[in-house]
Amino acid sequence: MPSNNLTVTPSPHIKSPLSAKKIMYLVILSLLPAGIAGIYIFGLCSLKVMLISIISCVISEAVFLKLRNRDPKAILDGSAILTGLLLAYNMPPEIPFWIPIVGGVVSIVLGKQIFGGLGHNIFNPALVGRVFLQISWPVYMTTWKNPKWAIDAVSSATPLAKEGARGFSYLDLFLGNHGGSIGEVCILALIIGALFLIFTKIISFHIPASFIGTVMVLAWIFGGEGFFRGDFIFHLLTGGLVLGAFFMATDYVTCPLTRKGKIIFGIGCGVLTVLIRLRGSYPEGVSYAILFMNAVVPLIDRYTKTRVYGVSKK
Amino acid sequence: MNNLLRFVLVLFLVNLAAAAILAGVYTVTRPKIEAQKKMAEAKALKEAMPESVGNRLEKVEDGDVEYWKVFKDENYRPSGYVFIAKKYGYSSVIETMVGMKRDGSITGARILNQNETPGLGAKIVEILSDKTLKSALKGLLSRKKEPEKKILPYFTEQFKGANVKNIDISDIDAITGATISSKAVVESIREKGSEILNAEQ
Amino acid sequence: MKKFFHELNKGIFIENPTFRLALGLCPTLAVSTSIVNGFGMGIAATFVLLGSNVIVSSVRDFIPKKIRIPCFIVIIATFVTIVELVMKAYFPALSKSLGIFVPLIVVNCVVLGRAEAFASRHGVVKSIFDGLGMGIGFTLALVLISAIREAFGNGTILGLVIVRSFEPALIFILAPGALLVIGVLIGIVNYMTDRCYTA
Repeated sequence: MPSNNLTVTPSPHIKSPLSAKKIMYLVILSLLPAGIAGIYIFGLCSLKVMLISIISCVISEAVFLKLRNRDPKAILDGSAILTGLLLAYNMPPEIPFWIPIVGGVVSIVLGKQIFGGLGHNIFNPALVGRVFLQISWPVYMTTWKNPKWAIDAVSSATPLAKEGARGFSYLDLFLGNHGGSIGEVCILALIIGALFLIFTKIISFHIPASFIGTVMVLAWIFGGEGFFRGDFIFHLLTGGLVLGAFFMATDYVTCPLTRKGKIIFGIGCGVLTVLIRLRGSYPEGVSYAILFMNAVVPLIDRYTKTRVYGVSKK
Repeated sequence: MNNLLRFVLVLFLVNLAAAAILAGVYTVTRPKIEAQKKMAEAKALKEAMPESVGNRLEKVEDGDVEYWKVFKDENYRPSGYVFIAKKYGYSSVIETMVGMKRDGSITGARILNQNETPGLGAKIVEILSDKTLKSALKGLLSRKKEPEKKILPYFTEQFKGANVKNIDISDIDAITGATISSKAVVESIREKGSEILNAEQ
Repeated sequence: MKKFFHELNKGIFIENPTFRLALGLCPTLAVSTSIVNGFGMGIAATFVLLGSNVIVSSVRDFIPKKIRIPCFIVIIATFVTIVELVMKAYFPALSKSLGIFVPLIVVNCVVLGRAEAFASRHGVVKSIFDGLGMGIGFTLALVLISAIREAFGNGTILGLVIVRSFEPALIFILAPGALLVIGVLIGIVNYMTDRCYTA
């Protein structure tokens, strides 16, 4: 029974009026506040990175669709634009122009099209691109720029770096008044977008809640000197946790389908994030954690498959 | 039973032949391998302290502190010290072998062990090759043998001449994006070096 | 003679251990970071393959079926240890950069695979060609992979800088890059072989 492998929840299935295309554009819309905040904080260079990244993604998608003799109209479904935007949000604002170009190509070709295009990709394409860049050119990917009104124009250590500047107040971190990636710094803007997505029921709260919750609890227990003394608010407000938990871990294609599965997925992401942040050799663990859990999604789906009503367990 | 005996016999013969061959190869290669090992050790010592070659070394073990005294001539006072400094960097313990004169000025330093982030902290051992494809082809065509230049890791090379008592991260060019790893190396040298100097005086 | 040539050709192209049989991938992933390493590993494995194939095929009638695997392992391990000792004595730098992967040739599935699948069933001469072919195939694959990885990941070829302005993508030198390169090469090789043999 092949259909049994695809249908995870029992019927009845209600067809949603939302199409994939509509959802993509609504997600892009919800990401806009963070982008505007990024431009406001770091200046027009952020806009440049975003545009280059989006254009690179769209062009590689078009070329690949053409090569595989697929309908080129598929570039209009918004998924390439969304990938490009998310990729740009993961980059520091003052990055050499060729890095978003390479990132876009890698995201689309290696992250999505090689698996068969939208809906077939195992891993979140934007994160594939980001991790590729992070490993390949770590210096560029971790040279942060301060907000444009800061007196100190020289790049500073990211707050998450282990010995990083702890001099930021929580308010500064919440508003994005510090160096960081374009779309990751302004938590306020990200939360506005995330609330929009949750209230329009495009994403459910299960993944972000379990993801962020796990990170905060574990950071509180293990993040400080001795147990139960970690600065968990700091862990929440820095790095890509909010962006990752609300916008990247919840990607429809690469997350589990059932509620139980989503919670397991979120907890897994959280555990791995804290593990990498505290013990790993890279400062940020969110993207690696989500990618890792992406790989386990088929397994999670298999074991959290809802029992069909009226059918016995065995 | 007969079969079992045969198995044992065959396995025994195979192993015997293998052991005999390996014994032969080992006898031939052993002196060479030991010479190579000694050369590698001597090279590490020489890079840390050129003067140590051919001179008397004396190992000092005083609790945690462990280092070598280097004697030149027949002096009673050592002319310098070689020690291994250790400190946790970003994701691993970085071990540096350092040579210094009696006044604390560094004669050479070399990273022995590290497991820092590739492309960032791991650059503390990076060696920049100055040979390009173009220059190599040119050299091949002109048939003129240019003397081999020895290229050393640029990060640890800048320590030469600095004094362990006051060497600081601000005096040297840290690796871009890897302030923590760079700092760990410098601080480990300062701490361990000062400790030894204090113990000796 | 044509038959022997077939055995040689088989290992290099049609049944290339890395790209077609996907055997011995662990050392391939680990040591293919520079052309020198890749070539050194390839030659070491070729020597072991050749040696073990010759010995296994010449003693194949003498060894009872039930204990053939332990016997093969002992024979292979002997050759590997010879390689390791010789390398340590005469090529210390190579031996240091290949590290644990030289002794690990013992468990390289190409070597045991050929001993079991070919040498224990064929004559000595045929086995020589089989071992040579497989060894050359393995070496060529390693050199190809390591050339790509060295060029993209380190910006050098045989340690020589290609272009100064090129900023190498470090990922190719690290493990994920190895998987990417091997994956893409396996895809290309399979595509080409399919076209050659179905056309």
